Amino acid sequence: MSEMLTSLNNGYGAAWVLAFAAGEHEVPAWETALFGLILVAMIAALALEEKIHARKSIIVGSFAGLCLILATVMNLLSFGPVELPDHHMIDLPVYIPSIDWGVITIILGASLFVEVTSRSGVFTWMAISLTRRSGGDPWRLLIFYGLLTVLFSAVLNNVTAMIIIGSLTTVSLKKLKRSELLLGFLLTEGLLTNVGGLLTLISSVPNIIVGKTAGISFAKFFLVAAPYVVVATAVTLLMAKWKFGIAGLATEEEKRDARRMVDSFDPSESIPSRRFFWFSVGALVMFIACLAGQSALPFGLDKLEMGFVALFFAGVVLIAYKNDVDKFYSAVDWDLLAFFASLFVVINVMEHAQVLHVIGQGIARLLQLPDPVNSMVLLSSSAVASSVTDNIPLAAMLAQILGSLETPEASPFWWCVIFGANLGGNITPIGSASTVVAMTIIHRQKLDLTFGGFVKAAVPFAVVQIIIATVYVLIAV
Amino acid sequence: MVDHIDEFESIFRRSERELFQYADIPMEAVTFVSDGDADRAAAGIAMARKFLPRLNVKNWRSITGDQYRTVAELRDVLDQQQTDLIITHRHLQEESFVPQHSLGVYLDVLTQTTSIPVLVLPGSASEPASVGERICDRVMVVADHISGDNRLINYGVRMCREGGTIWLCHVEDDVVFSRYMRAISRIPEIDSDDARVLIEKQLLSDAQEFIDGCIDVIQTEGPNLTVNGYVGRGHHLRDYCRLIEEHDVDLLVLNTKDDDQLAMHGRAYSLSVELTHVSMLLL
Repeated sequence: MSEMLTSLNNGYGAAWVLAFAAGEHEVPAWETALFGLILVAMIAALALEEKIHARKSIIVGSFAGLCLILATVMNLLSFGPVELPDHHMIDLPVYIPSIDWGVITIILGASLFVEVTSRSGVFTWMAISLTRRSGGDPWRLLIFYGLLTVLFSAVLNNVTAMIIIGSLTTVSLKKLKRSELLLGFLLTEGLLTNVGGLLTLISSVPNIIVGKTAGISFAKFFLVAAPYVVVATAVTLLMAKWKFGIAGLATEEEKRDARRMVDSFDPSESIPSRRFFWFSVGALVMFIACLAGQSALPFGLDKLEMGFVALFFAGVVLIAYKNDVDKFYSAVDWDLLAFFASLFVVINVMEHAQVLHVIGQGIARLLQLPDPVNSMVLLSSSAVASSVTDNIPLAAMLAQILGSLETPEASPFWWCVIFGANLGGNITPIGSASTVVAMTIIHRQKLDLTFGGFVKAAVPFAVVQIIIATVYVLIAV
Repeated sequence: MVDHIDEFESIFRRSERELFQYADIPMEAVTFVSDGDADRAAAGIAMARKFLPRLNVKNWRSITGDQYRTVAELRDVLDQQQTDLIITHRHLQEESFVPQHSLGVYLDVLTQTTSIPVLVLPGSASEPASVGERICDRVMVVADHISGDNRLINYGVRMCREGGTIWLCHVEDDVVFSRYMRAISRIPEIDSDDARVLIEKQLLSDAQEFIDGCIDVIQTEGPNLTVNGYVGRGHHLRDYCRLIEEHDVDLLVLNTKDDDQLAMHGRAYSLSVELTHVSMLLL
């Protein structure tokens, strides 16, 4: 790792020399400080999103607008035509090339694809079938729901996974007359969404941003992350069993009664059309296979990248609803997409204002710490930072900085950011979107859980998950 | 987000089926309550035994008119007898049968204060209508909320003769439905047309699926009976009366108790006072 750090330092220095050589003028320190303050203010506003009653896109969009105006007035941006790969010059607004359209298309395509396939009932069918298979035994039910949470978080997104499993948990535990277990189940599921979110490159937004910047392929990402996800899931489930007192059924009579109650769930009820159900299953398998093998697509199709794969499959499944696509378009999380676009603009301006350069210097010093302290500090500080604010700006900023430091693809630092940004969401209820969903469901069920109560219950899980991740990164990556 | 949570909760609740559980209701003792003497009680018992051949109860008891003067006294006597079924007529201890739109003071109270099912024979105590040669082989079970009402259906099965026919009926009341639809039509956030179609479909499919399940279970686990279902929307009293006439029903089985009121459940009351010519099992 020391050799890599040396090369990092060299690369880091070279990157900034290049920047200046390319004609970027030196930025006065007060301007960098001003934009640094704006960045801190934006992160603080995102952390207080619930308090100020504004959506992410509006918060970051406002800051993006302010940054663009100030950067233009201060002459920090370069205006003029943009050169395309075929050497054609086209005019584009200055903020358009700063957006990472690869990330935007992956999120847009994947969310449309998931929205359509979830209408086929494939995910609810799986959830209900496993509920029946558990026989109503609480411990088996927790294992099944835990595994489903991880799987759905990996294939769908953390929020949808939490909504599906959380909803089924409330209905099934009430049916089983075990409402006293609801809090433990929902908390465990909320914590497992962020573990499952580590499984694939498209499972969470930090994965997409960091993975894409690092050049990690879908298959490589899965092979590295999967062993950790298996271990962390097992440990989390065992801790939940102990902490929340979730035990199996003891007597034959209890088992018989529970079996009768879960048998009343009919999985086929959630399937509107068998044809569309099997079509969606096939499309889902193909989608994952194409993402996994995207870098090996023939005829140069790999150049179209994962965003195209996601959009292509979204288009294919939308054909099944060709007369009714409006409802899927309206279901797209436009707030998230606008948030991303704005965030990329802010980061681009911060780069021009040399704010990222200053932060990068700090991180470079951190990375120069002796092994394995540097990885441990990077992972844990990423986790702590993402526990109190949105992990997406954090991941985007760190990815940009690691990229500018020319960090090699095989470096463990990328994985420190990925693990830290995902697992940090388990420390507080506002640490990730899926824990916010878990809290919403908990409060809908009139269960008494405060912010502090969540932290108290979740911190032991998060600490253990982060320790396992640190050890895993040090020995396996 | 809350909309999405609610959407998935609805999907999972919809997949939840009420499963019918068949149980052969044990019956050790039946008490015939008369307001006459021992001879009249004996005649009543003979008629009831003939009418209900599948009861197969050895312990038949009677209460005669001289054993009680008030409802409380009648309840005391019944408590001592520890019976599983009461068979009687309307208007006990009343001089003449006058159509006064009630079951008589004894039955009005009895049906609400005891958990023992009461089988009311046609006519009144002073002018009983003979069931003649009829044998209970056409039973109709009616309920406002039939889904999950295992007890009601199991009693219906218990009363029906081997080889007989039982109808499981559920009528969604038009008046109530229209009232809710009028309320919904004044709420801009809810699409009235969608609500009308979806709510009606869901109300009827819940009952239909439960009845379909009952038919399967009774035919597999129960006695040899033909089980039919009827699910529809309409006017409760009018539709039930029509169905009873159409199928020449021998025994009507219905719930009378309402959890939150002392008086008899409204729909059951109107059926039981209107249909004086049909035997009824009031639960």
